Amino acid sequence: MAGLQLRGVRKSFGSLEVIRGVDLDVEDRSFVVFVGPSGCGKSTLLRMIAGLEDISAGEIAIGERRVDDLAPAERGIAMVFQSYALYPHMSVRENMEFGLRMAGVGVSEREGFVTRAARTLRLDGLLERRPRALSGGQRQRVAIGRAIVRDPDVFLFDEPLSNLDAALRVQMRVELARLHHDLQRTMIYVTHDQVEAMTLADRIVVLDAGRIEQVGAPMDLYRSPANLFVAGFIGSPKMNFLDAVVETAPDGGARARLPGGTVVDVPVRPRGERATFGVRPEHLVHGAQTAGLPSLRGRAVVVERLGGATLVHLALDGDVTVTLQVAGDSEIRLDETVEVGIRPETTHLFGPEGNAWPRD
Amino acid sequence: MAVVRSRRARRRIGVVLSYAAMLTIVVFAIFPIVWCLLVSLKPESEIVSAQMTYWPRTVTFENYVAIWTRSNFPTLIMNSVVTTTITVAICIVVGTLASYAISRYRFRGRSALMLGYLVVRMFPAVMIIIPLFIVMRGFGLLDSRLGLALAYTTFLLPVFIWMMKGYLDAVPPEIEDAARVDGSSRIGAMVRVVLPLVLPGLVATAVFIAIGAWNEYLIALMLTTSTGSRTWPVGLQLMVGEFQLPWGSLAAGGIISIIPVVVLFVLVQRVMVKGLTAGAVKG
Amino acid sequence: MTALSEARLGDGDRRVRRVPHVRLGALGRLSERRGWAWLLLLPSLVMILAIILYPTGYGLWLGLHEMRLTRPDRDGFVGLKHFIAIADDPIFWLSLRNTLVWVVGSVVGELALGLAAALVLNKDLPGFKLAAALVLLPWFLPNVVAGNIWAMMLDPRLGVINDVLVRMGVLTTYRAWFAEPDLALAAAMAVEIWHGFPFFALLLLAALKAIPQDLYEAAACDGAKAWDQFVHVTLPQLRMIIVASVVLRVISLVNSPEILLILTGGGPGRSTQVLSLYAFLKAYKEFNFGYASALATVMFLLLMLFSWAYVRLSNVMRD
Ligand SMILES: Nc1ncnc2c1ncn2[C@@H]1O[C@H](COP(=O)(O)OP(=O)(O)OP(=O)(O)O)[C@@H](O)[C@H]1O
Ligand SMILES: [Mg+2]
Repeated sequence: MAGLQLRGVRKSFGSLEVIRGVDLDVEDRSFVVFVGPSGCGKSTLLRMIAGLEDISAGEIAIGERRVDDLAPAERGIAMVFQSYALYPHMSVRENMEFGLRMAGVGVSEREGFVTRAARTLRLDGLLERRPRALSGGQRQRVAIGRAIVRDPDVFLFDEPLSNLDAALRVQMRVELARLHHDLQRTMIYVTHDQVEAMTLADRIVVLDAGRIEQVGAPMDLYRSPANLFVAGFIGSPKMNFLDAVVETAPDGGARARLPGGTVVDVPVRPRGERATFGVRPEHLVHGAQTAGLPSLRGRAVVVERLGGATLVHLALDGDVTVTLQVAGDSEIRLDETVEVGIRPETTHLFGPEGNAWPRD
Repeated sequence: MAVVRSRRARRRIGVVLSYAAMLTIVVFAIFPIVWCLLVSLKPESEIVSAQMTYWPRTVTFENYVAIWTRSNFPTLIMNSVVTTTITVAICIVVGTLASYAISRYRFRGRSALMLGYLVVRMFPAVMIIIPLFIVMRGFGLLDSRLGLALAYTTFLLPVFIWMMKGYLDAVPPEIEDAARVDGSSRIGAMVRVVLPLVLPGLVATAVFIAIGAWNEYLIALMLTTSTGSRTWPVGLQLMVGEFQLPWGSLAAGGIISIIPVVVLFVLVQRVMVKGLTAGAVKG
Repeated sequence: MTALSEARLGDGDRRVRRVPHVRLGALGRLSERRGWAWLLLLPSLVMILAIILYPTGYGLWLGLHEMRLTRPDRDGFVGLKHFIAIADDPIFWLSLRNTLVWVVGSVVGELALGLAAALVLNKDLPGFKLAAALVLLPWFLPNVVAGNIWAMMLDPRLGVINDVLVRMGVLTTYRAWFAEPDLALAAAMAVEIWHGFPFFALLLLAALKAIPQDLYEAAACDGAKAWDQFVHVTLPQLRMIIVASVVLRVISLVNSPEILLILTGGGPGRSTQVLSLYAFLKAYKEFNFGYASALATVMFLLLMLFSWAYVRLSNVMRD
């Protein structure tokens, strides 16, 4: 029913430009997540879509409708705020009804919508309470309920789960995914939580310093990051980066020489002589599987046991460290010397300007 | 054991001393008011007797009856009520809009404007009174309750705006954003969400302004000349000066006129103190 | 969790809108426009211009003119004549001196008493909240009532204060507080201090309550005695608010002659005549608007100078 288009959208606060030309197409009914480091402009971009911030340049359309001259009220959107922003002087019912009242929906119909949404979100018994008398999780549900009763074209979420504790966050994440599936509405979701982004999104938009770095399905971003920034930002623990000197391999691929002399044939087309070599901690292999693979040796300086997995930080020669992820029951000890193997097909090379060299 | 006991004893002495100091200050602060009340309840003979009585030997309300029925005090009070009401009404309408704009929008000249509202307080009353006198005479507003209320607005509107801004700043802007996304216009969000939330602050501010207008003496003295608009502070002081108002009646008049002040103050005291001291806490 | 499947709010075809889009009315639209803030400010700006700035400008202008309601024939521009006259006016200098004594004495007294009250009331014991509210009462009393109550209490024949002081043996005979030139200003100051100290108590108490408790705990760990704590923890935290409240108070003390007008009218002689009272009486009794305006202008300039120097000085002293 309503996709979303941004064309050349910019925003400046005084002389400070915080959104520097964003073009984005959001498909109808898709779940799009904006991620990026703190201060990169995620909230600002979301608020511009909502109409809460004027745009300095560009166009915004929802559905086929140009909305950048419309008031937030007229854009057919609903928004859930990090601080919930419930109306403290109204009961839960009045909070949820507010938007319907503004839209001129009759009393009996309102009653129906609110009751149904309340049942969905398990707020049945709380309708007459004030927000003050609710727990954090319940407030969050009311905020979401307030959004869904309005039946908006587009839902906007600004870090809605960041004030909840870890367990509740996981639970609400699952509920949001279901909600999206059931409601079939376009949702735009801001977070700086990796896991939320990877699990919820149909498409992830990675932002940095007011620009889009890459847009794509979560696994595409994970497998083929377009640049160093995305490679470092998506995936946890963070991808390992090493300086590499590159020459052309006999098969036309890139032969990367790493510090310490290890040579890896990366299946990408070489674009220069210097590059940054990247490999994810979970893609490094250890133990018996190392045989026949190019390898790195290092001393285990930190061993973090997470239970299901263990992270080992290795100090290589020349002040370089590499993180390795192994099984939780791994017996690697502190100060042990460890050899790790590199599977060439899991590695990446990035040029000096940060862009990934494309695979064949 | 002995150490524990002595420490406890010391703490008890500390508490006793705290109460003693607190009572001293409270007595100092309210003794004159209590004294005024006592005098107002004494018969004239007891007030003028050379033998000082602290507690009235006979309690009488004749002073209240006297000031209320044998002078134009009711008219004076009525004038004050009308003047105060007009002042407060103007401040609420004009000041709420202005303080909302200052609290919610960032525009060029905003801080200069805020400072301007404050600097206005630096002008000596006399400096404003004379031109006001001349201007009001020109518009036929001299010796009128509306004119006096307008004059009061000069020094109370800036106070209102400052105080109201503090209360408005305490309402999170996201609540208003939510209302706007939910289908309200800016003004709709202000009326349906922001104003209900600052209502206690608005009432406290209005009371503060009302007390200021109710108590004012100097401007009223200059701008009113007849019973038609004269307010009670001027009228009472005139009775003291010209008609040698007996003490009992004076005290009764004083008590009558400060009752609304005390009652209103007690009602909104908590919120008002918060508003008045918001700046002090922020530093 | 299966309840979630009921989130299929739309029955049947979900493409039919059940909740219509909002359309704002004209006023709502207007309130979304950029100029709305100025529209909200407009009434107050007009009022401030019309009833504050214009009269003030007029007042400055008047200071350069002759204007006596009693002698309209002499009206006209006289340049700096009034200001030259002021420089030669012994009553002006006397009033200035009285103003200094009056303001400094009152502010110091009010600040000291206000600070003491705030320290005393800053306790978490039952009854102290009520006490803090009661202590504020004098500040809300009208000058007319405050002045007359004290006039009654300080009465030379029937005043309760004389009675108390004689009983306590402080005085041997009743005194006429407002009749003796040396005593009148001091007595008036005592009244003013009673009337004004709650202002300081209010602000300082709030500031005291805002001092983080861990500062004291840190100081206590360092073995600081109560007095050291007061000097090294409390006072520095109160600095800003003391500076600010003193400016505000000085401004209102200089500008308002009310309490003196009620208590003494400037007498006996001119012993309690302050500048604001002098200017007011020139206007109110003599209708000499030009000269009174010139006096007010001088007061305003002195106040500006004081505020500037004072804020400057207190900033310098901090470094
Ligand atoms: N009203 C404003 N005035 C000036 N600068 C602003 C304003 N709002 C945001 N900014 C700046 O714009 C930049 C982007 O802010 P924004 O809130 O969009 O970041 P964010 O990506 O949401 O960060 P976070 O993850 O911390 O919420 C920041 O540098 C911020 O300081
Ligand atoms: Mg944000």
